[in-house]
Amino acid sequence: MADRYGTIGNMATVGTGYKTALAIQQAATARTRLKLYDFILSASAAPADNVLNWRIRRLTVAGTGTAINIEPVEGAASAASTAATANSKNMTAEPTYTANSELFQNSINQRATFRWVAAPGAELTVPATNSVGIGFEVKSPAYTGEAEVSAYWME
Amino acid sequence: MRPAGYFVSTDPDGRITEGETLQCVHCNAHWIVRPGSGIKRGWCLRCMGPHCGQAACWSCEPFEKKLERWEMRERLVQAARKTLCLDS
Ligand SMILES: [Zn+2]
Ligand SMILES: [Zn+2]
Repeated sequence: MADRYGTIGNMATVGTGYKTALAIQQAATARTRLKLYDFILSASAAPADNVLNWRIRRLTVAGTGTAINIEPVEGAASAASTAATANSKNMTAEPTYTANSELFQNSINQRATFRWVAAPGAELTVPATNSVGIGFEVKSPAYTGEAEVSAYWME
Repeated sequence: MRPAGYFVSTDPDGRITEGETLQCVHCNAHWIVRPGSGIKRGWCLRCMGPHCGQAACWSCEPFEKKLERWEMRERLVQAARKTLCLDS
């Protein structure tokens, strides 16, 4: 049976252009497909009425950011094959995204917390291909505080 | 149509908005079902499922086939690198 893993990412300062809050990527030597089944989006600055635009896309080349910790959801699972514990959140140099590869897009009020869960078999799937992955990007016309994303996947 | 995903949005005043997402049979994308949004989606008669409506998804390549093609390309690249001794 597949093991499940989770991590959190953030964008410390949301801007008017898309920036990557979290990238989940295959290792340099991919072992298995990754299946994202659950994510939570939120914003943590003092409550105000702003909109945050989120989108999820496929990426092929890592960017530059801060390291993430990948934790098994069941404590005893083996270490994730997902790579990129370095350079995976709060990115300052964007990963290379695949054109027209939007996997999800939604605009969310800053005061809201948004959670999505896939029906079994309908996960967002990353092929068992070296170094590819999916990224969570966020922007806002006015909000300049922090945005957070939690993500869970099977591999 | 069977939903492919579920979402819940919670406001600070406790108001909860829930809904469903559908998934593209060709590119794996999910979208929130918004009747009357004006966004043109499609239905693939071969896959017997919805597609997201972006240009590439109007022609049929089931997502599973796409995944296999991507993975095959990677294996070919790795094999070629090995043959040409590009990896030391
Ligand atoms: Zn599609
Ligand atoms: Zn089709």
